[in-house]
Amino acid sequence: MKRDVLIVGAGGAGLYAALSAVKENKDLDVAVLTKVYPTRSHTGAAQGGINAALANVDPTDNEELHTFDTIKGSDYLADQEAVKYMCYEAPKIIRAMEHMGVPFSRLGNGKIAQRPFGGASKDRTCYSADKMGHVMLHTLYEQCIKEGVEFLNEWFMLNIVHDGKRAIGVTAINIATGEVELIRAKSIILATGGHSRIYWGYTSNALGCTGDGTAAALRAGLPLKDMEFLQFHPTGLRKSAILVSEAARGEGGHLKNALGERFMKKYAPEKMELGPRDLVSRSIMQEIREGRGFKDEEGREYVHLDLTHLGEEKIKERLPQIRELAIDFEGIDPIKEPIPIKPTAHYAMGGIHTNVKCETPIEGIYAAGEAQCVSVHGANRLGGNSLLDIVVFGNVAGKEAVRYAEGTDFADGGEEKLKEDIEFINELMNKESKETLGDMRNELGEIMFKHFGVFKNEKEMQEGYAKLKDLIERAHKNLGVEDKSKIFNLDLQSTLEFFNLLEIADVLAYASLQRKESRGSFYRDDYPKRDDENFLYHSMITKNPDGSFNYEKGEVDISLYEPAERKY
Amino acid sequence: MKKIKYTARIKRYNPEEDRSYYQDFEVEVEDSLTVLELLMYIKDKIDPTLTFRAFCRSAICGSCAMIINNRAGLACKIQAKDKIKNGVIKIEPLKTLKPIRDLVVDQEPAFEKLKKIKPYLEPDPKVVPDNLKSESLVLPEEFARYDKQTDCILCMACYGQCNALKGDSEYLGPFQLTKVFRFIMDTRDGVDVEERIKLAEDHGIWECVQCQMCFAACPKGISSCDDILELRRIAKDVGEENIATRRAKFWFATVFETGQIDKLHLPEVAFSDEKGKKIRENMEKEFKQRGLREDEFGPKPFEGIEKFRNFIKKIEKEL
Repeated sequence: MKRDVLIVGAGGAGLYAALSAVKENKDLDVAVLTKVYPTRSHTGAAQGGINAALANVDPTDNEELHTFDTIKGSDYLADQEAVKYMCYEAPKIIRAMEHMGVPFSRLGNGKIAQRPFGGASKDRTCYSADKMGHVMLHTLYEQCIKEGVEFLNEWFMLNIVHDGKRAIGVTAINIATGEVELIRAKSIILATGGHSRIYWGYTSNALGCTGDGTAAALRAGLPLKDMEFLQFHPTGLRKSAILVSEAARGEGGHLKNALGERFMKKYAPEKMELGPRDLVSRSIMQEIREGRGFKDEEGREYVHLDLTHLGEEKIKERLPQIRELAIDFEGIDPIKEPIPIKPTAHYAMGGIHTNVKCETPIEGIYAAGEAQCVSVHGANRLGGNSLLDIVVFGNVAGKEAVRYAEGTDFADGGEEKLKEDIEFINELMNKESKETLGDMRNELGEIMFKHFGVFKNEKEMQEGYAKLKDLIERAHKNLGVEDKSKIFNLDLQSTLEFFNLLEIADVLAYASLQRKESRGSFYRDDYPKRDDENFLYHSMITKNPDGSFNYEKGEVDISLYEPAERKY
Repeated sequence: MKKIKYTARIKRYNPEEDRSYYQDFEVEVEDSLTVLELLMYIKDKIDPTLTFRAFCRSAICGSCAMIINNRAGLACKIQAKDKIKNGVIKIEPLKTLKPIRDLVVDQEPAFEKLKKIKPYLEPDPKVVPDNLKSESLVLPEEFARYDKQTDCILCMACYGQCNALKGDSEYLGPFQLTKVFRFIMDTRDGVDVEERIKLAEDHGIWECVQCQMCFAACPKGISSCDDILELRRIAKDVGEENIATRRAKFWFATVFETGQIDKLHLPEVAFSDEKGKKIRENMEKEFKQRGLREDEFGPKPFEGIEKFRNFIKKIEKEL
């Protein structure tokens, strides 16, 4: 198989990239390869909204303020020109999507409605009740149907193939048949999403957010950036860790401890519940640590997110999905009772290193979306900026990938890699498992949450890293695929995803140990202060053939705003 | 932590042998499991070959629609303990789509039907600006007309239990028709309503049997059957001569004549094609089998029909 532009992943970034690519040049073969059907991707789970300084609600808002809020929110690790680009593109791309049919909630005058959100100085978050990601994803898919975009549904990418200089293609398995193929492509866009599933059981993410593209990039020798930065969202449901959107606080929800106190007044006296996510997550964990949390029969500790004072009408109109989730997964109606919540692993700021044109160091290979790290989120992403990031950089990646594909031919080679991958799969299929995938995945989640969670320190991390190394070794030795069928073998796919998770957890743990400071979402008890003198850099990690890591320091662009202390 | 014991009876499909069969799994698990968590438990602990789609586990991605105790729904949204009957919970793949393996079905035909109805907005230049400096203006009450319909997650629960599809495999399907309704209602859409209705009429709105199973199945509470009724009303209004207008005229005429709907001839007049004729012939055959005489087939005016006709005429004048 051959495609001029091959996009891997069909979430917001992948679909936007596909639309941009086909609009840019109708004569090119553009295809989207995806392990799930297009509208299944995790973009659809984004609830609260998307940021753009439209100034529809607050006329004093503008792109410059959005830029500054994002940089401050990032704890000054974001690249400032890249942030500026994203924030200045925001109003245009929101309008472009509105013209495509995205059903935004509206103000009385007919304009797109906007709400306050964490870490934002103005009411800037455009929304569609509490299902923004869902309506965006579906609208983009509708437009892909209109433009005749080709989809390779239920294909799972194994590896990225290149010749050291330029892209050759990817190897992938057709889930329906079990056949492994080399798909040649002039340009490849990796829009494969995040990897918070390394915190298995402690994450808001979908079962499939396993960082497949990020792990493949690492194996292909591409650098991963800022992998130690993974955001914990303050409000996950107690039992399932499913997300309760920041919109719940944006609309006026209160966080309360077991004493009934709105404890955020201690930690963010001005912004209260609308402090940035990293700060609110730590505050919740601090309350629990100091014994002011709740504890249920199963020993789960949590605090309350109280919406009862908002009233039935507002909850039904603005937060219908949150209500549905609370009823379905906690058996609690937020109109009547507070929701039990705890922080949940939510979003990877780190990912595949690219520049602002979405280029990786290999020609013809691009990345966009949560899999990518430009970086526009630095050490902590603001709510409402991820849906923005994926479309802004999906758009860039689509155009750049077309530009490159127009000026080049298909590269030769890759047969070796295909052979290797087929052999690897056969080996896995023929191996008898000595341990079960389910248990090992849970073990990974336990290690990561306990040792690389909201609060970290050297001792905990070293212990955790040793456990992780042991788990990785055992997985390679003991884990095979027990389902031997070639047709729709999801046991095989889950096993491959688990190996991807292990690779990423390894990098995240390694990168965490190198950073001896606290910044944004990355917090260490033993180094509680930010240290710009020694650590204002992007960590850049590549993997050597022997499995060891190269660690380099990438420069942070601070050309617009001087780093300052972050207060809310 | 309360544990309960029950049997999960799962309909499986082995594609290598082209064979469907039920398999019982005896489980003793926490009582708070969703059906999806139950399936994951079985896959992790008992049988790793059990195959089903799942992704978000929070009722927004639409991957895990299946039939649970004879009702379509999302496995991740339904509590297993609520569905146990006599110690058994029965789990089967969606009905109107072919199984690929176990609970995984081939969704492609349903997506192909979606593509037939232009499932996208074509901007109306009178409403949608041609530049990125401004937005289209949509009043909240205008958005409210199709807000609910935009909740559709394409999970196909409605499609998987649709009775009209059993009669006509080419029937478009409930979620596809809800999509037509959503775009007709969107003030920004520039496609002629006539065109959208025409697309919805081809193996579409007139085939629906109004059994309301789509509404019962929808995890988002969307009522496709009501959207279809609305589309029929719109069809009646926009067309000069189409199924809707013929149906309405004939309906009115026979009610006026006899006080009853002539169900025997209505399909033939409305469809005005071979299919309508066939429906009449089939009904006649059935009547004969039941021992009815030919003059007993259609409705006859009831006693005092004149009074009724005068009443109708009076209302017509007032309108």
